[in-house]
Amino acid sequence: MKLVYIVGGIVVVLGWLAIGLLVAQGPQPEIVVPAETITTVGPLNLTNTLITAWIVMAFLVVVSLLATRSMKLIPSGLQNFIESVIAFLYGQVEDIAGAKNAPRFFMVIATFFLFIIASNWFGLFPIFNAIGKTEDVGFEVFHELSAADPEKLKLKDGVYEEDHKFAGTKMEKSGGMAIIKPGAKAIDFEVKAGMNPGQAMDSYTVFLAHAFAGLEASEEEIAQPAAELVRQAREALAAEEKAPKLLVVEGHGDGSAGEHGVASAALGDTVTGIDFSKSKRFALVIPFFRGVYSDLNNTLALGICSFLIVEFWGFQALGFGYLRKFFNFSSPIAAFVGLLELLSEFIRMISFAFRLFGNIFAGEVLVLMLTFLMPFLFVDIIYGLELFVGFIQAAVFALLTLVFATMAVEHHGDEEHHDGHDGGTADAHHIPGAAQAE
Amino acid sequence: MDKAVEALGLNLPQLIAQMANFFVLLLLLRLTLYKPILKMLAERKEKIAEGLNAAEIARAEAAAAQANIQAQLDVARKEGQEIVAGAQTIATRIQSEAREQSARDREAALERARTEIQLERDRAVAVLRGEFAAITVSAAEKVINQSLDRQAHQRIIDETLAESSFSGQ
Repeated sequence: MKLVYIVGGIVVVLGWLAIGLLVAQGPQPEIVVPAETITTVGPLNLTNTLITAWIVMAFLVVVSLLATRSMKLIPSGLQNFIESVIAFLYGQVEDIAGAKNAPRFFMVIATFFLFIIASNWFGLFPIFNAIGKTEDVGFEVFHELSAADPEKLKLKDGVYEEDHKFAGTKMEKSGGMAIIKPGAKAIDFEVKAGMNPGQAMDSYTVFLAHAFAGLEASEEEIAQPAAELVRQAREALAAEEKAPKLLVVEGHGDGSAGEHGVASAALGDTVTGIDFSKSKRFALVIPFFRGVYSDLNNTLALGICSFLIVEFWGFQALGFGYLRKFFNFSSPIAAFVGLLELLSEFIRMISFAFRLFGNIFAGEVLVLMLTFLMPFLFVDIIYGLELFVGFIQAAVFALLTLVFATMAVEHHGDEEHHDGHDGGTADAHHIPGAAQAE
Repeated sequence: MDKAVEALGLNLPQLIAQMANFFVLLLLLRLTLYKPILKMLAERKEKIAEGLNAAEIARAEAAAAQANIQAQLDVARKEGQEIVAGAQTIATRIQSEAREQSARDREAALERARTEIQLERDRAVAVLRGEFAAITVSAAEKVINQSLDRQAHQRIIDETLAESSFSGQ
């Protein structure tokens, strides 16, 4: 009887995996390290991570308002949950920082923890990294090739300085909100260093014919097409009704990019435009939402915040005596140790930023890749792992900040003979800290 | 360096925006979450401490009242015992007194009866003496046939009686 269940379970799991592999496999996602910009406001790029950060903040504030709206002495429901979280965090802070410092540190530490854990767990919503606006890569490639001063490609002496990859997904429709269609195909077009715009245009022509009109071409042929192949590609694109159409005028064949188009190096005429109106688009989905801390800007910002706050507490508690930790010239060794201390203060900021970024970004990539490689079941395991990683990273960030803060406000042993004036300022500053607790 | 910064997507406005986000969130959560919750936690702590304190006081009071009652009970029991003991003593005394009294009364009654009997006998003796004298006189008259002066007779009889030392004593 038991054997039946085991075998049945295995069959169901394998079947489910097979269905995922055969039917629900999506296009390979394009992994981009910088956060994608949705729109621009003044000097600020509204990236998807920033938008997500605002949503997370709004969520936290709304939940807080709901929990504390009508507080009762005997708690229940949401209030009970939130209270237990706060009480747990406060207990942790008190354990590490001691009862004297806990009221001063608590709010900042709790904010770090709550912001990071909420952001990390938000990033696991299925809508993340999947729903977004589409960017027409097909047109973008042509614009880049035909522009005299392209944005993404670097021109030097008429040839491209370095490789650049344009990635996209071939889609049924583009524009507006689109979930990547199962079975849609991710395709890459690559511009190699040393090409001039005309050669790149020829390569692009062959690439399009290969992708949309079924022209036989190997990767090497696409990268360096012969004149004959380019002509075949033109014909294939013209013959296939549902392929993008090249707009071509006769002209000089010097392979340069001009204002009105780009001259083909192989055929000597000028391509002035590409018409995708009758064909499938070659487009990239830019997700509206992406995990907040899969963006280095955000983790670095938190690292800087942590650094600034810790230094502030250090000065608050010890006055300018705080600097003695770093600039201590009583002996060469002490001076060297002080220098190391000073360096470590700044390195912490960087390690904060990269630890959080690395973990969260890697997690997102893992979930994304597995979703497209093994659509069902496998990714659930990773989801469980990611929940754990999200919690651990939040705890690590908050606890490390707390530990550094506790170290910063500590009086040092060699300061005992300065206690006359230092102790006074420190005590004077402890009072607002204590008042803050109320 | 520039390339690395670009590849990682670092840019200053977003960095500042995110730092601002953090401080705004800190402020908002301070207002909406930490302050009310910490206040409520402190309030509850105080209430619980108060409650425990009150319970402690009540328990102490109850214990004190119990001790008080016990002490009063002890006193009452002692008093009761004393009262009973006293009553018993009194009863014994009354009993013995009554017994003595009755003995004395009996003695007195006996004494009185004895006195009366004495008196009675004396009187009877006196009567008997008188009658005996008369009988004797009449007997002597008859014997001697001699009529004598009554008073002289009486005197002779009394003298005779006195000589015969006939007395009731």
